[in-house]
Amino acid sequence: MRVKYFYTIRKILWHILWIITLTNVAQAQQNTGSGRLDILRDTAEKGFQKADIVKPFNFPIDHGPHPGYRHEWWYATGNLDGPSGRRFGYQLTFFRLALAPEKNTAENRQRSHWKTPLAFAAHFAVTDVQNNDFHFSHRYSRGDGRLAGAKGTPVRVWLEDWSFEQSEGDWKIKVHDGDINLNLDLKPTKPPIFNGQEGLSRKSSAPGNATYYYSLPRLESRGTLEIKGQPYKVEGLTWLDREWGTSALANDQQGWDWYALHLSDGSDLMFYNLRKMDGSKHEFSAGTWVAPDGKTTAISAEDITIDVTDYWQSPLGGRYPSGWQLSWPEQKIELTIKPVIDDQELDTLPRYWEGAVDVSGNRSGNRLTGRGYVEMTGYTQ
Amino acid sequence: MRTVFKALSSYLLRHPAQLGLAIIGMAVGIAVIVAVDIANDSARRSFDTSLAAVTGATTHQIIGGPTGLDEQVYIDMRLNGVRSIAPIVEGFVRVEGETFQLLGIDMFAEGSFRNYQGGGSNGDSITESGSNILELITQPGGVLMADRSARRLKLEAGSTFNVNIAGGDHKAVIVSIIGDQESNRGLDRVLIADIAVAQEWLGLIGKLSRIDVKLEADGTGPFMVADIEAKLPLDARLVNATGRNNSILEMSTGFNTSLMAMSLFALLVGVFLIYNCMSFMVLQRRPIIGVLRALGVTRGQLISALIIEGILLAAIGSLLGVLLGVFLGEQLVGLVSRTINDHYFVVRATEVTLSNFSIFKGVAAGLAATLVAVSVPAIEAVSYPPRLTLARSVVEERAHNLLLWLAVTATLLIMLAWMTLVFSTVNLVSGFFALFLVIVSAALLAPLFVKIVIPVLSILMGFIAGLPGRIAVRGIMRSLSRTGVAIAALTIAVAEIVGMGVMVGSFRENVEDWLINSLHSDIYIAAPGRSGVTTRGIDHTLINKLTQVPGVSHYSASRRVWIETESGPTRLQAIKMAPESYGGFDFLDGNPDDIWPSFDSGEGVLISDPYAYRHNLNIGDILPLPTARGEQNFTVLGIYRDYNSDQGVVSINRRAYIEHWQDEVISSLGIYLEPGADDGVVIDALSRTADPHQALLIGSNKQLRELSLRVFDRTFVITNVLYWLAMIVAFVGVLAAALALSLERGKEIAILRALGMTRMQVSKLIVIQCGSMGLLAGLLALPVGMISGWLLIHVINRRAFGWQIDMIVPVDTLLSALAIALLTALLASIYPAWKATKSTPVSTLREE
Repeated sequence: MRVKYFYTIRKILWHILWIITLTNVAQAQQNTGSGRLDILRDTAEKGFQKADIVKPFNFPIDHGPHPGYRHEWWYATGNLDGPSGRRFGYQLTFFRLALAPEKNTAENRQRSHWKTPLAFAAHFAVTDVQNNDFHFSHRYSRGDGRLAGAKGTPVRVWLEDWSFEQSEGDWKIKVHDGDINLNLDLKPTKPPIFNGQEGLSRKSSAPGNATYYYSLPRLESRGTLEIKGQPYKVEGLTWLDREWGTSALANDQQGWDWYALHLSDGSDLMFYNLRKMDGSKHEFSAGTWVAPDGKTTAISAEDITIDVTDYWQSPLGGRYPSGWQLSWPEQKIELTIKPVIDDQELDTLPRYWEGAVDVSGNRSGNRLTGRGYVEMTGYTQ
Repeated sequence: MRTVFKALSSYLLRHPAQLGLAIIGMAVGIAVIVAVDIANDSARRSFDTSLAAVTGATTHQIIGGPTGLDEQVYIDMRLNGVRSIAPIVEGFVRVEGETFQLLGIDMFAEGSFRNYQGGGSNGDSITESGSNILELITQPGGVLMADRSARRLKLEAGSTFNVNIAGGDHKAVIVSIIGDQESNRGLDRVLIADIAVAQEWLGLIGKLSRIDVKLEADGTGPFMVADIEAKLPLDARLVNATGRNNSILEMSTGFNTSLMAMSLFALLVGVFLIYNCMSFMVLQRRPIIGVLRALGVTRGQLISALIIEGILLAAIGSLLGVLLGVFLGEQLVGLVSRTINDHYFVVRATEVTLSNFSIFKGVAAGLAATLVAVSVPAIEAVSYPPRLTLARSVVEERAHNLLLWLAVTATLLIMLAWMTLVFSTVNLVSGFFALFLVIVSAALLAPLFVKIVIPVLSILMGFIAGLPGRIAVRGIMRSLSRTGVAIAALTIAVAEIVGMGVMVGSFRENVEDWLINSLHSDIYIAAPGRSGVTTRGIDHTLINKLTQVPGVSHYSASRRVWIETESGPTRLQAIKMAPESYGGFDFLDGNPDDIWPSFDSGEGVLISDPYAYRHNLNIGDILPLPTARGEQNFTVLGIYRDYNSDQGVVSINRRAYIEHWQDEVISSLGIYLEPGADDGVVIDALSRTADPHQALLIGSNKQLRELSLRVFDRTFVITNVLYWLAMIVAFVGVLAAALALSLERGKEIAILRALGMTRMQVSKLIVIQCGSMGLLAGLLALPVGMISGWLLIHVINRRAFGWQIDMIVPVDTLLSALAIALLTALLASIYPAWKATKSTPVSTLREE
């Protein structure tokens, strides 16, 4: 039930932070606790729908946008293999945020096409292991349905020339970012998993303080990645998260470490290590185990221990963990997690680390490998 | 040395009026220079800073045709991966009687274009309170306003107010105040709104005013000029932002230069005054100088003492002049801004900026004049043996010998002026130089003129006023070293009045004739907008209704737009001609019988005279203009007289315009009435028809003509102010000369009194003497003024503004100039005359 509680908080916090980015506030990190959060507090919720009851999901419609709710995102991370042993990681994220409730106004000749309360943000990153290179960029736009927007049937989410599309069960990613182009076809191999209570992820005991939340844990990904004019045929696995809601947030944690791992036996593991202000593990830290057949098992805070085995000093300031030892005694799982390259930090606001990792270890004595993505926030000052 | 100073200064202290006048004259001369500099500078600088604030980091701009740019151009560029571009929708609006620039932005694209905050590169929040800029998007009518503007209008964050655009009101609310940091100075009188709000208010749905582009100067960025140009539709062009801003600023250069030149004339008058006063003070002390020399003081010591004294006086005069100049400048800024607003571009701020350079110019001019004024008589005074120095007659003898040399110099200067005009045919500064030379040579000829005219005048005065009259007039001759300079100063001032009067009078008469000839319609209807340029125009359905109003016979229609050419903005006018319209064009070149058939069939364009002059175009030349289908060539069919804009206008047939620019908007109508229809009645009917639909300006032929002339007169207010200031300087000059003469003549007057002349007769003598000087200056000023008027019309105006004006000699201007010269001199004589009656001959004579 509380599984994705803090995951949600993480995403919402980002919203606030990129909003602050828009206002050119450099000291965003220091100010997140100040009155600027009011944007996402009570008054701003008026006029929006709330995630307050368990509802059946309806695909493919729910892959598309949910206009009554204030915020929503499409979040993909994946590991890709290229020719002759080339190895890549990528992240593509779209945020949709309604700055005010969208009004259903009739087409009016006197109405500007720019008029919309919708804002979109997108983050894109590519890790090039062989060249020890990490590229990232971020964009913002109003969601006027031309420059950026999200549509259902067929599902399409885009910000300028970056897009997610979905049709007949498959997804497409298209990103043109300077001299980096990514074109991928994503084919889900497992059905969506519903987080929290059948997809209703509650934030507190207050009704409506929740989001709707599902994931596509394992998508086979194929396509081309072009770097500086050099195209590579790539294939690999992607994790896609979808979430929408209107809820407010609390902010009493220092940050989090998030792990989403595709393992060689066909299972997937996702876990949050939420850090309290003193750095210790928060009791709401949690995760999900997805069996090869798609069955899910909830993981609670006390089920798993994760020890940091190495650190990486960011040239921009702050020290991130850079190697972990994960153990889940109940399932007899022991995993060693290492970043494919150290520097996979996005110098956005806020600054955070999100990068491809390698996994090796064993389950009940059988060798287990895998790849995944780790995200770390709250390590910068 | 101290003794020398003491001896020299005791005289000055005994004659405070002399000292005071010298300082006042110097101060006013310097003040005018400083004031005009401040006014020019402030108006341009405020335009510059606001342009800079609004342009921000923009390096290039994409601009469209006359109706703006289709916003799809921007969307397509973004979707095709072009970054570092930001859409802008802008226009001018009125807020509580002030003109504001409305800047519609897309804050998501603004990124690094404009910096609305203070602090370093990281910056603080957009406002001091950090309040919510996102409300620009969510709050209907939300705007940002600079702190300065808000304080002036007594508004604060959250305040609502009305924004008036083209006659319609819109409700705005301040979502945030932009802090008053240095970097935000240029944002005074700018309203920043979301692009959607700006589009809706300005009636520009689907349109952009421009797209701001930021390209790396070294071409290293992801996009280059060529990449962007390749993605543009035919009617859009990529221009360099700095170049575009400069060409806008360039428009008022002629005006600013002319003002500066006029201020130089005031200084020139001031220089004569300073020279007169300073040299007089040296002359007066010749006896002391002689004594000091006899006592063994060296020439060098004396010269340096006199020069140091002069510099001290100049310092005091400069200080006062700068203070007075700042005060005057503040008054002039409004006038200069208004003229620039009327004719060139919108100057929003009227904040006075005082540059050190302005002060430096003023002080340097004052010091230089003083140095010349002091050193010439000082060197002269000490160059004689001590005994001779004591004699007054030596000076006059020399002055008379000088006359010939002055005349020769003047002739040379006139020749130089003529050569300047022959060899530099377009440069404005050389035009002013020639004018300056003519004025200076007139001043140099003044003493000779006096010498020639005096015998006649003395006979005349003897007739009128008897012996005192003759003595008075001959007295002018005898003190030529002094009276000559005073007369020269007055001549320059009056000549300036005559010259400007001739120019402005001719200009006004030409404009009036032109208005009568070119304004044929009985009633004019226009959509509100700056310089008749409007985006929306008059609604087409309304035009149908208006032309159905009883009493309306037929109409002409026009559309005025700005189009961006390589050489800056060009005013284009598309006309649907009425039969009467043809007569409104006074062709300076070309045969109307050839021109009209071609024009009607859309084969070319007509250009106004200033446009032809500025762009060096003749009939048959090809004029390339950017159209909706890319650049097209147009043949110049005719060049016509037009006083609408000194930048010039290009006129084109409306059908051809629609074809080339795909813009059917009509911004104004010229209504012709049925015979016998009353224009007042029809105007009422037209207003009743229009009011429920659209705010329009409706006026009769007469009203439009009057309005045009009012704007014309307004333009020359500052000119009037300037030449009256020169007049004040001249007045002080004559007063100083009169005072000096009566002082010097103290003994002479005492003798005359002792010989039996009454106080009244003595006063009369002084009044006649001054009056004669005024008359002489006035008489000389007439021809000089006419010549400078001719130069102002045919050289200065042509070069600065491109105007072609027929010279008309306004007799009343000449007569009043003469009267002014006379009155000034008479006024200046009152005090010395009164003073002379106070002195008793006995005490004056005993001083010997």
